[in-house]
Amino acid sequence: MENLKNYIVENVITVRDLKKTFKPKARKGVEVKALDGIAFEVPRGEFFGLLGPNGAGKTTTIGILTTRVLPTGGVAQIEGIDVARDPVSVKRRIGVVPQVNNLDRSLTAKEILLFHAEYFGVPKHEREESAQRLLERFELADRADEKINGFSGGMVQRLKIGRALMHDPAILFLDEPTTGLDPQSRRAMWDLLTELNQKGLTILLTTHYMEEADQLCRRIAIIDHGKLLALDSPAQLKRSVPGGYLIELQVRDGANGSFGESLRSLLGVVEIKAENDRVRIYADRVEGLLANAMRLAGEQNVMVTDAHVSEPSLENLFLHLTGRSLRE
Amino acid sequence: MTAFIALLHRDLRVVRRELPSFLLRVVLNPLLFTFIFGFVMPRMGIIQHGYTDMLLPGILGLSMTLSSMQAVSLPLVIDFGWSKEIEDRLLAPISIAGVGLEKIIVGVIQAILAGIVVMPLAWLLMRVHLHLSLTGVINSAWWSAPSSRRSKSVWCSQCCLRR
Repeated sequence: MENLKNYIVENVITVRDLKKTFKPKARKGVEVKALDGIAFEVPRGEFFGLLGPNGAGKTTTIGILTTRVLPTGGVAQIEGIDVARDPVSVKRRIGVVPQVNNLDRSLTAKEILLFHAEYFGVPKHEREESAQRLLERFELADRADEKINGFSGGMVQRLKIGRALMHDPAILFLDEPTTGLDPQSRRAMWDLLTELNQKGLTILLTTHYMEEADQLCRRIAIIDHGKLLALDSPAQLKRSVPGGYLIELQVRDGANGSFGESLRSLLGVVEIKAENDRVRIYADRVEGLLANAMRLAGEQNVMVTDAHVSEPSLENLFLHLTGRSLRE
Repeated sequence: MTAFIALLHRDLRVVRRELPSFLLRVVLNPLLFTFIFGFVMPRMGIIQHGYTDMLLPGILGLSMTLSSMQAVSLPLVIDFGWSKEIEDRLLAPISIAGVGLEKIIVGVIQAILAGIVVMPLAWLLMRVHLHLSLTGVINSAWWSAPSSRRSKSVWCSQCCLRR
C-alpha cells in the first residue's frame, strides 16, 4: 500500500531518520543533538512548513537539504538524489532563500540576478529576460542598477527570492522569510509565496510564526529539540487538541456567576472562563454549541452584545505538545 | 565548467569595476619602496653597488604576492565571517573545491596584473642604477640560493656572466 502511494504521488523531498550532532568547541565533551531522527516526505507541488521555536533544528534541516550542512546520520533526498553524495546535482534542482542576507555586495541588484543565472548556465537572452521580469514583479525595477547597501529589509528579501527563482528550480527552500519584516511586507510576501505555489512550485518553509504556517502551508511538521512532534494539515493538527475550540461572548451584565455555571452543562464544553463582561468557552467541536449558548443567555435574560468564534490555534497545539509556549 | 567560468566572470567583473582602487593599492607600496631604496639611497651612495638589481625582482615578487592575497583572502575573510556571502557562491552548481580553485585562479590573474603594472614603474625609477640583462636576472636568481655566495660576490650581470 505504501509503495502504491509512492507511485501515485511523487515525493520530491524524502527525509529518513535524519541526525545531526555538533561538538561545540566552547563546551568540551558535550554533544549537541541538533536533529534527532527526523523523517518526512514532501510530494511535488506542496507547500510544506517546518514550525518550531528558535533552536528547534529547522535551519539545520534546511541546511542539510540544501547541501550546506553534512548530516551525521540518516538519509536526505531531493528528487531521489542523496544530498550528501551528489550535492552538485541537488543544487541544480533547488532554489534557496537563506535566513541571513548573503546577497553579493559587490554587484548591483540586476547583476546579482544575472550572475546567479549564469552560474547555472542559463542562456544569455533567457537570463536577461527573466531578470527583467522578476525585477518588475518584485517591484525592484527602479533600483535595478543600485548595489544592495541601501535596500530595505523587504527589498532584500524579495531580491533573495528573485535570485533563487532565476534558474527555475523545482523546489524552493525558504528559511524564515518574513522574520524582521513589517506586517505589510509580510502580507505581500505571503501573497507572493502563495502565487508561486499555485504555479506549481514545491515550497518548503521554516517559520516560528503560527499564523504564517497556518495561512500558507498545506502540511506542517512541528519540531522541537531536533524531534518531529507532529505532522499534518493545519486544520487536522488543530483538531487534535482537546478542547481547542474557542467561543468568546461579550455580555452586557450579569456575566459571572450563574450564566457561566449553566454554560458548563452544555455538551462538549471543556472549560469556562468568565471575567467582567466576557465569557470564554473552551470546547470540543460540537454542532450547535453557539446556538445553545445563545439560547441559555436568552433564558437567563443575559444580553449578549458580541460573539466571536475562533478555530483552535496552532499556538494551543504547540503548548499542548511541548508544554511550553512557542515564543519562549 | 559553466559554473566555474561564470564565477570567474563575476570576480573579473568586480576586479574591473574596482580597477582604480586596485591599481592604487598595488602601485603605492612598491613605488615608495623603490623610491627610497632604489632611487634616493643609491644616489646618496650609502647602499652597496648592485643592491637595486636585487631590489627589482624582490619588489616584483612582494607586490605580486601581497596584491593577490589582499584581493582574494581579505574579501574571503569577510565572506566567511561577517556577511556569509560565500554561501551565495556555494549554492552555484559546482563542488566546494571548484569554488576554491576559482578563487586561486582569480588571485593568480590579479598577481599577474600587479606584476605587469609594477615592473615597468620600478624599472623606470631605478633604471640609472640597474645593470640587468636577461641572463643576469636568471643567473642572479640561480645564485641567490646559497647565502655564502651572496656576501662574497658583487652582484652585477658582468660578473655573473663571467662565472
